[in-house]
Amino acid sequence: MLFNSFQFILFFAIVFGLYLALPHRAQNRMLLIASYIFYGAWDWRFLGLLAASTVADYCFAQWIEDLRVDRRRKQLVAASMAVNLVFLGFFKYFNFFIDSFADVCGWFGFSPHVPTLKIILPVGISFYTFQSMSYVIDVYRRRLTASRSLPDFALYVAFFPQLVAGPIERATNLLAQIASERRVSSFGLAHGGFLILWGYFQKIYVADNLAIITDQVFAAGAHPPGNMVLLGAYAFFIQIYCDFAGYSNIARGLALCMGFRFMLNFNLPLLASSPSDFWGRWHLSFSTWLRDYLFTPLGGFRKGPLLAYRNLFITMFLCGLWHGAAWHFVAWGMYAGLTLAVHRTLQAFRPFAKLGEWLVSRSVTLVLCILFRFLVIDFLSPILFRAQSLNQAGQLLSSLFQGWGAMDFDVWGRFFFYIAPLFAMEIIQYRANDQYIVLKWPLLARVTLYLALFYGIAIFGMQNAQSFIYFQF
Amino acid sequence: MRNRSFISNFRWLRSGLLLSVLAVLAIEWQLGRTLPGHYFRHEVDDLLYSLDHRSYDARVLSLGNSVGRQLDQGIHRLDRGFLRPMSSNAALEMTGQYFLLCRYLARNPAPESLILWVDNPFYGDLRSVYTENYIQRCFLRWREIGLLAWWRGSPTFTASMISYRLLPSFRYRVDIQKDIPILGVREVNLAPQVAFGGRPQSARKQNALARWWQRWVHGGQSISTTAFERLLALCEERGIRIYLIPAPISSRVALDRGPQQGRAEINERLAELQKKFDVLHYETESRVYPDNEFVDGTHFVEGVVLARAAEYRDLLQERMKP
Repeated sequence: MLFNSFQFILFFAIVFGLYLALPHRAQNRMLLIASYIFYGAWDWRFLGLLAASTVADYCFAQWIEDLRVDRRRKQLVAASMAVNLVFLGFFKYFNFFIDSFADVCGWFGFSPHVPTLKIILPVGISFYTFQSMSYVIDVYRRRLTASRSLPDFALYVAFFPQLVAGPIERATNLLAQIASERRVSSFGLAHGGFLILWGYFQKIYVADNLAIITDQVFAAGAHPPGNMVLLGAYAFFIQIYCDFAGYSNIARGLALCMGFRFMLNFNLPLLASSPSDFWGRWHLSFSTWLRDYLFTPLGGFRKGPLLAYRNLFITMFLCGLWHGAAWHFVAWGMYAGLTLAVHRTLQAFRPFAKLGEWLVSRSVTLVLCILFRFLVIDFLSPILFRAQSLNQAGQLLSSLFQGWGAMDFDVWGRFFFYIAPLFAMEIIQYRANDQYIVLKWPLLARVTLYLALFYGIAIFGMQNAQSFIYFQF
Repeated sequence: MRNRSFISNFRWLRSGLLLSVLAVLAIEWQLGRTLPGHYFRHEVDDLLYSLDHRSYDARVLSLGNSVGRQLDQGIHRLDRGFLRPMSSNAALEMTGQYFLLCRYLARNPAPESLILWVDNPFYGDLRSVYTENYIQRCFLRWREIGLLAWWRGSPTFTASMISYRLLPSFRYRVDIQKDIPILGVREVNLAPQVAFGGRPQSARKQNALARWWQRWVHGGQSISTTAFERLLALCEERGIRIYLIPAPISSRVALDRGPQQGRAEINERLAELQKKFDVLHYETESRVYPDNEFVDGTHFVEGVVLARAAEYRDLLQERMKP
């Protein structure tokens, strides 16, 4: 059930109507049932997996909390991680590791007969598994008391706005809101309504229309000229951002309408001025998860530069692998790690650090920094991410040097037509340092903006609902 | 009651979102008056607009698929007074043909005869890739939406029709996009993905709930069968004789099909219906013509249309003799 489908709009209308009519406890039960219906609409066979993962972590957290012996607590948290990672590993990585093992054997002249299974990847498994894992770890770290209400915890894991593509909410934030009474307010409806409208615009107007361009460039067997590879890379960067940020904004908006507050998942990352700045704005619920539960426990930047780089590359390697069981995702993660490492190295030199500070302190040079990061540093990322294999990524990159080709001004024109409103809005938000700045505009300006967004969706939307890219992760 | 406190504090009356909704309703109301007369995507749009704005007094009305369209247009060119050509497209299935007849009868006197150029009147459950473009986007009277909501039993199918009804800008979005040269939309008769060079949407699958609904509402029959029975009942009530003519086929198709494969079952079911509705008359077999008379295996090449139309006119005159 996609957010951008009539099915979901009807579903949410019913859920919201019931939500308004019910008292707090009944609201939670109703939301839990609705969330399971929402997930079951995609494939009911995986409801059991979701429930099993939920019950396992609910029990583990209570046992961990009840124990006093640290060694036993550690064993239990390890067991919980193992259960979660076995689920995730089996469904997401089984065939990848088997195939990779066979490839490695092939290099040494062996050709083992390896079994591969036709495994369907349960939608959103990476998101709810990570969310559930963070809860157990937080209980283990005594940052949180274990939930004593299974329905509340089940709702925390399965809450439908963020179940299949995040934000990966922390229990410290969401579970507390589930347990306490919420209020549907005109503030929440206005802010939530704007987020929903803007999210749909990002998804339907920008992402889905750019997908037509990127699909042509990245199609298997396509040999696009250099200028189309360039266009495809930038178009995909913006497409995946709008696809994912659009989903997050709709999720946050839906939650806000019901009185829940989700964390900010994207803070205008297209306007980041450096790789570090970018990762401080991109998929925040995941990047902060990696920071808190992987990078920092590994030692972070605390144990000298060499270990810091090791930690960075391990984190970004796993970040790439989280996105998909394929080597081009790993390469993408490693490239991101490399850009971060280079930026950090340069920052360590005082003249460079001073230069960096000076560059971002002036409007003109800040714009140049943003353009340099977007056009040059991050040019490779979308190619590695979107290519169907490392081989295809290599072919696309080599075609850049084999001929620029004739510019198709129609396609370039279409590209600018779809990205112009996005950048206009983001620049306004960036300058005001406030994503809700438009809500402070005069009434007439707001109404004009809402109408523009609405007609952008209604007139320029695709005929059929397009799936969200991040569902596959 | 705390949850609903936002309703009673009236701040929402000054909400930009609410005013935008009102503005959208006003704009769409105005667009609903202008766009249908401005954009015509295909022959069904033309036909529905004509039915809404013109009056007819035909003795013989012709409805059906695109081959029927070639033939009834040909007959009309040969003999202008013989029939009123309104055949359009097989994508309408029997449901669309039934709605067309209803719309015709709502504004015009009943014809004496109705010619239906249809291969298999029992085929179709409104799940084809063309349903969106030919049914959901076109037949938007509340009665039609309500009937399809019941027959199809799909809230999303119905919601899509309601949104087309309420939002003309959404209904004509591909046509509007075509007017913006930079977008490169050249063909509005297809789904936009195809217009942009992508792949068409695949045919909709039927889930268990939909199958159950179909058994319950249609007794396990197709939606087209229900529509066809309704059409027969309507004709019976209004005294309209129906002549069901299967489309002519090429000799190659005839060879592939074998001795009128599947036709026997259709004829059997038609015979059953004929016992119930004596206005129904039908041809038992498709006429077969040489391959070189077909441009794409289905439609006649332009050069032979008049000759074939004359043959069918003679056939119809023969069948319509009292």
